[in-house]
Amino acid sequence: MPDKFKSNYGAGRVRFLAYIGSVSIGILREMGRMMLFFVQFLGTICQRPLRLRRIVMEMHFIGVKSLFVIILVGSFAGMVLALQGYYALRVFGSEALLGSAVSLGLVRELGPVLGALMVGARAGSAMTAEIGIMKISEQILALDVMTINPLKYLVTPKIIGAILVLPLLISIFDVVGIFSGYAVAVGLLGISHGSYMDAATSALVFQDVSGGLVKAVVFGFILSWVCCYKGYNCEHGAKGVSNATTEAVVMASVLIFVVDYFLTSFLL
Amino acid sequence: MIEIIDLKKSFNGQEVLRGVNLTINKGETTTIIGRSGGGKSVLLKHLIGVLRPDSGSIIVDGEDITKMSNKELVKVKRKFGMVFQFAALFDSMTVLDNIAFQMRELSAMKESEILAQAGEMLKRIGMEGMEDKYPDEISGGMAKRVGLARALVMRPEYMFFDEPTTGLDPIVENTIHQLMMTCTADTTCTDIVISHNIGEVMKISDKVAMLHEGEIIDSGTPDEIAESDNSVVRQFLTGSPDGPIQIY
Repeated sequence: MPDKFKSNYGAGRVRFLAYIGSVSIGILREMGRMMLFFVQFLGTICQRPLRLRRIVMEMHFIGVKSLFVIILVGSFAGMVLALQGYYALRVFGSEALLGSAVSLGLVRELGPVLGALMVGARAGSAMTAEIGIMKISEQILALDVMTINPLKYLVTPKIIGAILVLPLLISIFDVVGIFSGYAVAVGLLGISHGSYMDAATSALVFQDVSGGLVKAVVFGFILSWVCCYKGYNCEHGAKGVSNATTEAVVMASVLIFVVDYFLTSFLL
Repeated sequence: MIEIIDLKKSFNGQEVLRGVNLTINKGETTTIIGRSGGGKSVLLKHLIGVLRPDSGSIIVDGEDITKMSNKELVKVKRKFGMVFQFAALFDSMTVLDNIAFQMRELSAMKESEILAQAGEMLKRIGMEGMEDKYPDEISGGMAKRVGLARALVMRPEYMFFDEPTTGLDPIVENTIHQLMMTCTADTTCTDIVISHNIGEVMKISDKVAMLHEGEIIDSGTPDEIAESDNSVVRQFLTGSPDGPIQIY
């Protein structure tokens, strides 16, 4: 290789390493900021006033207003699970286990994950946009000047509200999914009522339900934490809010899948 | 009284405040003038305790707020009120709720008393009957007046105004000035104003300070500033493109 190209090659490698380094530092810095945000949130939980009214308002916004989408997605998830499960089990002549497949699949896995993703897309993005707009229009600064802790006033009720309301939403998702699966199995695929319901209820044990609810709590925390963090730190006008909202939903969704794997391996 | 002593602040290695020294006397209106990007907003954020300096002190009524913990700072910040450049009203609340907000959050007043005080404040700013309007349903001038009412309702000892009349027509501008003067006269408040509007500066100020390249380069009464020998101050006051301040 001629010397000229050799030196260019060397410089290119240095630039590449510098790029990797700066990306790594950026990721570490962002993780550090997110942890600091979490610690600050923890510090505000017991601070007075507790702002119970705002927590209830957030529960209404995250919970009641997500109910329609949860029921809709839950019912189709249950139906498709029954349909796919039926054709897979039929190969082994085990159609009678369809109820177990639907209930276990929903309660352990699909309910918490799909439910959290839907709430993240609906309420999480709204959290980021609301806090982001308040940030860029100096409303958060105004709270600070008034000596009202913006984190306590805006963020804490959202995170607590999400943690409390996600298990309820996921429970509804699971129940709607199991009964939608029942409608497809009994009404469309010819499985008997007793066979489906018996398999669905006997397969489920307390650990499945509690595991699903633990996931719901963790996912509720993750999506509200990430979405509030992104909104609270957004900059550069309308475009900044738009970017923060996209980043929040993507990051929360990815984290939900990653944490789901580790939680499942721990809970099984 | 607020004393700013050798205040320095850098962001990413860029010096924004290079040793600001300024005394703001109690009961007076002190205006800080200077070019956009000259550090006025950064200085203001230090004064209201939002930013911490790299070095230097800000003494408010004998206490250095730069050395205080967040908890201690809250007590001092209760003395402050601020009118933002774009009002910064809470857009999910009505005009009345914006004015009543601090009383609801920070005082033990009954709701009936809060509503009475907020109503009284609305009357003072000439916005009776607009209680139920949202910030996006009122004009910029009205929003500024609501912002002023919101800040004054807790009777602060120090009022900070960030370009209080930018973008307003002359009539609304004068109305805001009258409100600033009458409201603060009632409460013996100390005003700290940031402005580019030279007419406004000369009209409302007891003291004017020019911040240029991170330092206070001149200060005095409006008359003294108008007669300043400093070529930067003279160019800024006249708005001439020729002089030591070069845009391009």
